[in-house]
Amino acid sequence: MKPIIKATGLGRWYGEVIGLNDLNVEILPGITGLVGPNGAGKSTFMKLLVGEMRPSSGSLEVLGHTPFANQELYRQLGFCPQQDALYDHMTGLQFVTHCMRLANLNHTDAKAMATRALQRVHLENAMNRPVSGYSKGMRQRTKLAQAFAHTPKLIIADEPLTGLDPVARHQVLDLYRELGDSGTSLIISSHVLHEVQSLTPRIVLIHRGRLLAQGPVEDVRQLLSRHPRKVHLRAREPRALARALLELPHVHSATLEEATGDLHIETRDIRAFHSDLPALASRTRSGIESLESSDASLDAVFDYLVG
Amino acid sequence: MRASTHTEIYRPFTGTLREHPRRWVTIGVSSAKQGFKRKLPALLLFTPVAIGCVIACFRVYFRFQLLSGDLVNINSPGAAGITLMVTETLGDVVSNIFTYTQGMAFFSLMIVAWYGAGLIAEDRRLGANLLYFSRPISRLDYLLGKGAGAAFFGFLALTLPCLLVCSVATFTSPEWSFIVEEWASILKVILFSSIWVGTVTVLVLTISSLVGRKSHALIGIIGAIVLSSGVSTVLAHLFNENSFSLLNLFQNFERLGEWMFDRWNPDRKVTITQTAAALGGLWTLCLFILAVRVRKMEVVA
Amino acid sequence: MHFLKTAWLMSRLQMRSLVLSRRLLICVLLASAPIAIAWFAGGHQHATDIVPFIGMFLVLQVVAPLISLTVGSSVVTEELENRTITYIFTRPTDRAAFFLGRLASSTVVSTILVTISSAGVIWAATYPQAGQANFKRERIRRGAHEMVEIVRDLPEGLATGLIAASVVAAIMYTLISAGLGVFFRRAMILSLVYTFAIEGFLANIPGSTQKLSVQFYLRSFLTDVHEMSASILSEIPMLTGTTLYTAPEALTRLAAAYSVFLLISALGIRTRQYMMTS
Repeated sequence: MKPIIKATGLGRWYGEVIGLNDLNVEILPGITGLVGPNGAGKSTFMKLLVGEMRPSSGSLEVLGHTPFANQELYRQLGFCPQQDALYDHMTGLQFVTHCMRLANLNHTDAKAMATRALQRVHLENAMNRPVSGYSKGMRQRTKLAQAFAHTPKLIIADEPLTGLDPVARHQVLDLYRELGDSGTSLIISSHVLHEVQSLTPRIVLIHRGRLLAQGPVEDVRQLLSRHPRKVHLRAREPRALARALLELPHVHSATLEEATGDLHIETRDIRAFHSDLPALASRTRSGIESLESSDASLDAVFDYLVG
Repeated sequence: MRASTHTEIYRPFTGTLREHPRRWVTIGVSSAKQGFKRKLPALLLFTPVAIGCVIACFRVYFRFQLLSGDLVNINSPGAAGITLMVTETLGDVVSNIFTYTQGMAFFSLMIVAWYGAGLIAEDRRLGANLLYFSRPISRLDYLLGKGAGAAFFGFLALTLPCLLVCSVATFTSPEWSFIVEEWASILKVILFSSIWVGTVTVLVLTISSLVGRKSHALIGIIGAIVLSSGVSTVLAHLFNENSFSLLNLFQNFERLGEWMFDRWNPDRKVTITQTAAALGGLWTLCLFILAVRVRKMEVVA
Repeated sequence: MHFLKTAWLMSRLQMRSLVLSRRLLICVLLASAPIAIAWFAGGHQHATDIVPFIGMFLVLQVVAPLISLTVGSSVVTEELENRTITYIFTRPTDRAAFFLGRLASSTVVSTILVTISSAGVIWAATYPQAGQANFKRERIRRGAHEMVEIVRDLPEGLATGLIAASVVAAIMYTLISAGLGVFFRRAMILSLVYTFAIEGFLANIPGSTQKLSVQFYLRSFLTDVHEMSASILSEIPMLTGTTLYTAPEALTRLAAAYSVFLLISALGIRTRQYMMTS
């Protein structure tokens, strides 16, 4: 599959401060989560992606184009910026219509597209009110609407879930899933890691301006061999099971909680563990009741890599 | 569910809380520190000030050197006349300081404007007043702090160079004659420069409190100065009436300086009382606006 | 075609935001200041004395630059400060269209305001002399007639010269401010420094350096059509011996300078990076 974004040796400095350093990344079509702590370089990367800035070094291609001031790219791109900035004297509908008209649409088409987009973000009742009176969540949804109203190939959203209440978050995440299902590629940066993970397993993790990890969360976790995977087991015969498990070469430790009878296993190879476990359980007649992997989430990966 | 706290982060406070007696100092220091962060504007704005100060110091130094006979033998034929002529041209210490203050009035205004324009405006824009007034800080503390921050740079631009000139005069004058005989001039210099710096600080803070951005405050300050100067010039010309010059801040200070340093021009139609009244009126208006605006900021907080 | 459409959209957006802004209110107040002074002076002095003086020293040197810089600096800087420029620069639009469209609206607004100010000075200077102390309809009608007569009695070309110079001043200073906004973040401050410090210096020292200032050409407009303006200038010691251009010469040179600066600004905005804090 051809990558939608290809960065080679990408660097960006702000004076003496490094925003992004020697970033090599290829992002495939679909939904991708861009994660990293504050100041990691996510926003810098996004600004480079949408052509707000030029790279200081290296090269960047977005949908096959160099982004800076590239009209051809902007026809296929939607951008939802992080800053809470809108034309406050306009209504939501006027704002999105205005954005659509800048894409060379006539007024009727632009308005129809804007109305549809605002309806999709559940702002149909407020779209004729000035945006100055909108709540933060409504402003966020208006920004989103202008990003996808013209059905772009790629949507780049910088912290799009900020300021949204749980219901709105849910709605917006559903909207992203719909857009993703319809073939639109999305790059979403967010601090809300479990929500990113609920959208997509694919992440790009940036830290201190460098690429720290890339790919499906599960695969990334698998690569973190110095942090054994933790598995919680509940069984009828936990001692026997623990004894058997400790004989496996990839099992690092087994801890039994006296009070609850829970068994905490640490393994260096989760796949081997999963393939060996059924045979062991059968042999020891331990009667496994539940099995849970607690540190396979994006949060855990983030903690291990960044923390 | 049992509540727990992260004791490593939220360590219990074991000391005794005491109120800082002069809380405005903290605000003033932080405002001044903020100003030092930008190097280029400081370089551009303080360069003319530094040049002016060096010239004034040099003139004073050269004059005393001439008078002491270190540079020219005043007993030689014709030297006395030349020395007298050159020392007349160089002027005495007070006239050098007076010339310096008049020459640097615009730059000192620009310096105070640059460093002070954003002090209240940016607080309003960023909502920092919410933080300030949620602390035990009074409106007066806030205003004094912000004023001190802006006035500090005015002090660097006007008072400090004048004191430097006085120091040069003190050390180069024969038998410390400057400080012995003209010590009152030093006090006058401090007083005069303080009045100027105080006035422009109050004006700058007032305009800053009326707008929401530093750049808008700056254009407001420059606009107010340029417009008032223009209007006073035009009216004074059309009516051949000097009292319109009371609208001009720079001319008011020129008159004040003339009066304080005993250089009053008797041809002036405007009296020092009128000048003082004009400046007093400006202070009253500015302080009234500041009080109202800062009160509003506190209410919002 | 898309370029023109974008420019038109930008122009409308700028016009709308300007009309609804506090900036415009301040500009209206600025524009009315010379009118008020002319009105005040009109009761004591003859219009022939008032108009060139207020026109030259207040309208052209103070009010026109201030209004134009206030309005012109909003062309790029306002979008940057409000951080809304992202919405425009991530659309398939030519950045030059954005600049030109917004500049057009700003120029229209500043030109209207400055023209009103200079025309208002002429009106206000002549109105009290027409004996209009009250506002009864008949008196107004008669007064208006008398006023037209007084304007006609003004030295030939004074009114047109002042208005023409005002229009040119508004157009030039709006571009200066907008153009500086393309290249510098603090355009408004730089424009002020340029207009009142650099140009104020250049325009008022003897010699040909005056030709580097807009004020020199504005004076050319006024003196070319009105001798008294020339005599006012000749009273300023710094300007004695200065040879001004004729109005067409001044216009040609300003138009050339305008075109060059416009081109540089339009090309500049295509290549400049604008960094916004989040």
